[in-house]
Amino acid sequence: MKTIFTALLLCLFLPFSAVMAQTDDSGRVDLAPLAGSLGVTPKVNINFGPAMMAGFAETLRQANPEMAGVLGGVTGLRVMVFEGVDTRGAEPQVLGIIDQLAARGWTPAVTVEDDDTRINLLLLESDTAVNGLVLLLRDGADTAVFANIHGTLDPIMIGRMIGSGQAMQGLDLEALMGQFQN
Amino acid sequence: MNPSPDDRLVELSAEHSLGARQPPKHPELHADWHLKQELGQLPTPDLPPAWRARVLAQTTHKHRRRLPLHWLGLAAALLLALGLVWFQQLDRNSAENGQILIAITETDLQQLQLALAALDDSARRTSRIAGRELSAPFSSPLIQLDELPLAPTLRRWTEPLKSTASDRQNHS
Repeated sequence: MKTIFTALLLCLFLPFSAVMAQTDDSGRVDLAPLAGSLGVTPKVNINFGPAMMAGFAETLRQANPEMAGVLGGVTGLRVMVFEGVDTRGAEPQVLGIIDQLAARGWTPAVTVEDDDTRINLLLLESDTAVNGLVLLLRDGADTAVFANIHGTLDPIMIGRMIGSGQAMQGLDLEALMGQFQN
Repeated sequence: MNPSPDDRLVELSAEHSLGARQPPKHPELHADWHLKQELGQLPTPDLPPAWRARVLAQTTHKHRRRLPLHWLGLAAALLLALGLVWFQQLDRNSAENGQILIAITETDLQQLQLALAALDDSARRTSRIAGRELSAPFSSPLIQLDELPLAPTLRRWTEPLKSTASDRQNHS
């Protein structure tokens, strides 16, 4: 009876672990509770999944192979921008998420507290790549940016972004969109 | 005394008529035939239970030996896991070979641009504030010259250097 029970457990675990090994979603973070705590809909709310990111990577491959390579490693992108709201209302939720992520092995890469601006950037790192990035920015009392990027992210791109804010340099989306208009 | 060939033929004929479906016409053979039929209809006696179990065990173990259920389940799970991995790899390869799964529209690209611009702006803001905070402690010297023990001597050496440098700037 015991062996049959063990076998049944393995029957359930093996296919599940095989799927999980292929799709690493460890860097995905649900940011919806933060929007709920502010009580307003975000001014910008973008949520792209793996299929869309693969589509972007393929679309950009000719025009910007480097950026296509970066986007090809991204399996999900979530960006929410709030303007004209009291961001202090979300502070308990933000601190709760930071604690949760820290308990799950995320590293607080950047923490800035300057007057009324608070920025938290957390990374989930593996040996060779960054699997997740969460940005929680509360600027002044009226602007908030919450973002989550997950997948297999290039550490060089992340470093460039943190160091100088020039991660997207060289990407001419205006020119790329001209392809659609022609 | 050995029976003659004719006697043998009669015996064989009698035996054959007892095995036939129809009863023989000879009265003696007729009674024998009926007796044989009645004996044939008697129920077969069952084997003693212990014997029966032994016979069944010998026959079933030889012909119906199969793997235990849990091993079969494990093998099925392993096959399913391998199948899923193979299927996902196939799907990934087809995506890498240039087949776009979703047709990207201009609106999608505009949204991507907006998301990247928001990220870029946030990163710039972060580096600006963090840079300002980091540079503040280094902008003014932490130790003043007057606080050093050999301050008068050091001032005597540094004063001529400062005046020479300012003279050069004035000339140029």
